[in-house]
Amino acid sequence: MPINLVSADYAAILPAVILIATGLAVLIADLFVTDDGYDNPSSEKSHLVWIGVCGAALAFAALFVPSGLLFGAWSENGVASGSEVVFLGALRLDAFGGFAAAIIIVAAGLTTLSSGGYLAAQGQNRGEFYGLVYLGGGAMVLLAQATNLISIFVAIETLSLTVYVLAGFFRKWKLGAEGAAKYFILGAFSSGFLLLGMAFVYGATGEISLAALGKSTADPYLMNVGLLLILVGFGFKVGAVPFHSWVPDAYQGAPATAAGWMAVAVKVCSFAALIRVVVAAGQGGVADAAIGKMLAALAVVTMVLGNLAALNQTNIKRMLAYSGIAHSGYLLIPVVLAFQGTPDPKVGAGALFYLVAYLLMTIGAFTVVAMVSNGDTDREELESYNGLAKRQPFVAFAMTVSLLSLAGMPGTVGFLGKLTIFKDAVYSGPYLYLAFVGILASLVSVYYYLRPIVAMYFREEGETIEIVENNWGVKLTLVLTSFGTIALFFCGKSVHELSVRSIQSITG
Amino acid sequence: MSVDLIPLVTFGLLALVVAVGALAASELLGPRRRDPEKLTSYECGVPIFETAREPFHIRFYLIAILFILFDIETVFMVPYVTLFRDLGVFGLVEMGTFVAILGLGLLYCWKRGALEWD
Repeated sequence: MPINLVSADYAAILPAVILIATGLAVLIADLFVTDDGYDNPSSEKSHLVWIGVCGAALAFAALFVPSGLLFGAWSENGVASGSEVVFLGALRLDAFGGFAAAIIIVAAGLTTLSSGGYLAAQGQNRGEFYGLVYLGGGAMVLLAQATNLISIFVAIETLSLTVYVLAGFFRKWKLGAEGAAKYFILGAFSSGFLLLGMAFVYGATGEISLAALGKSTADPYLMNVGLLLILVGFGFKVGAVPFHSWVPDAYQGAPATAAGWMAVAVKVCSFAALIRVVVAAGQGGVADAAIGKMLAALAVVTMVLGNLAALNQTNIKRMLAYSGIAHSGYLLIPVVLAFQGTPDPKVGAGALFYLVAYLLMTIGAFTVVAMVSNGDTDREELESYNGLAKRQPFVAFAMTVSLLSLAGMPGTVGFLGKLTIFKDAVYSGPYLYLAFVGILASLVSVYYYLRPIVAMYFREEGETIEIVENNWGVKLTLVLTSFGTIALFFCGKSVHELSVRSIQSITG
Repeated sequence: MSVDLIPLVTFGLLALVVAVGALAASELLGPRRRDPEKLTSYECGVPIFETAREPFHIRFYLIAILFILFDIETVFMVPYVTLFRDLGVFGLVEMGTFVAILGLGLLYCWKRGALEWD
C-alpha cells in the first residue's frame, strides 16, 4: 500500500518536527561541546540555550509559512482559515491547533532562556533538561492538533513521560523525588481513566475519529460513561479539583523553571484537546446535558478550592501551584460554554486568549522564583522576598507585574483574559453563575497575590539575598514577560481576534 | 444458549479435559525416583552455583533497557522489510529517520558511558 503525503501533511507536522529535532540537537550538542573536556553541570552552557531558542523561533516561524497552521487565520481578515484533515484523520491542520502550538512554542523558548543560569547555580545544568522540554514540546504541539482518540492518547503519554522526568530533575532533592513519584503514579492512573473512556466511546460509535462523538446513532450509555471517564482523565492532567492533589507536590519538587513549563505548556495542550473533545461531543450528539453541568461543577469547586487553599501557603511554589489550580478553574468556564455550544460558537476563544495571558504571567513569576531561590530550597519561602525591591528593583517589578496579572488587575493582560471569560459566561444565560463564582474567587485571590508584593516592597530584608544575577537569559525572560503582560493589555485586541478566528476553525 | 456457541463450549471443555487429564495421568501413572540431583532447579544443564534471589547490579538494568531499545527496532524493521518495494522512497526515508533517531540514542548512551562495564 503506497502512502501518499501531500504538502498539507508536511505543513501540519512541521512545527512539531522542528521542536523534536531541536530536542535531539540539544541532547547531542551537550555530549560534544563541553567547557574543559568533561561535562560540567555547573557551567552555564549558553550554546544549549541558543540552540533551543533558535529551534523555538524556527518552529514559531513554521506556523506562519504559506499553508502553515496559523497562516490562514493570520492573513485573511476575519475569515476562518480553511482547515484540512491530515495523516488519515490523526491530525488536523487548523488555526486552533496553530494558536495553541504558538503558546507552547513560546513557553519552550522562554523556559530555555530562563533555565541556564538557574540550573547552573544548582549544579544541575544538563542538556537533558532542554532535550526533555523540546521533545515534550513536540508531543504537546501534536496533542493540540490531534483529532482522533489514538493520536490524542499517544501524544498525551509522550508528553507526560517527559514532564514526569522534569518534575524529578533535581534527583538529590527529597521533595523532587516525592513530587515526581506522586505525579507519575497519579498520571499513570489518570491515563487509565482516559484510555477506558476512549474504549467506551469507541464502543459507542465504532470510530476513533473525534468527529464521531457527535454521531446521533451512537449508544448513549456507553458514550456518556466514556465521556465522563475522558473528562476525569483530562481533569487530572490540567489539575482540576478533585483531581489536583499531585499539583502542589510536583511543582514544589520540580526545578522552578520546569514548574513554570509544566504549569503553562501541559495546561495549554490539555485544554486544547479537551476543547476539541467537548466541541465535538456538544454538536448534536447523544452526549447528555448533565455532562455540561458536571463540567460547570468542576469549574466551581476548582476555582473556589484552588484559591482558598492558596491563601495559607508560605512556600511560594506551592502558592503558585494552587493559583495554577484556580486558573484551571477559570479556564474550565469556556470549556463548559463550548460544550453547550450556543448561542455563540465563539465562546471557546476565551480559553485561548486566557492561555496567552497565563503563559506570560506564570513564566514570569516562576522565573523570579528561580532567580531568588538560586540553588537553595529554603529561599522558596515567602520571607525570602522581604526587601527584595531595594536590592533588585527590576526583579521585584517583574514579579509584581506577574502577580498583579495573575490576580486580574486592570493594566495587565490577566485582566483582559478574565474579562473575556466572565463576559462570555454572563452572555451565555444558564451559566451566568460561573461568572459570579469566578469574580468572587478572584477577589479572594488578590489577598495571596499581594502578600509577596508587600514583602518585597514594605518589609525589611532579613538576610542578604544573593540571586542569579548577571544572567542575560533570565533578565531577557523577565523583560519579555513583563513587557508582554503590560503591552497586551493595551493591544490585546489583535490577539483576541486571532483567538476568535482560531476557535472558529473548529466550531465552524 | 445460542447454537453458535456450542462448538466454542465443546472446544473449551475438551481443552480442559485434555489439559487436566494429561497432568493427572502423568502424576498417577508416571514412575517417580527422586534423588537430590534431580530435585535441583534446571538451568541449561550447568550446575547452579548460587541463588538467583539477590539484588543485581544497576548496570544490568541499563543493559536490559538498551536491549529493549534495539529489540523494538527489529520489531519495526521486520514488517518494513516485507513491504520494502511497495513503500518505495517514502518508506526508505521514513525508516532512515527512525534508525537515525535510534542511532542518536546509541551515540548518547555511548558518550554518557552507559556501555562501559567498569
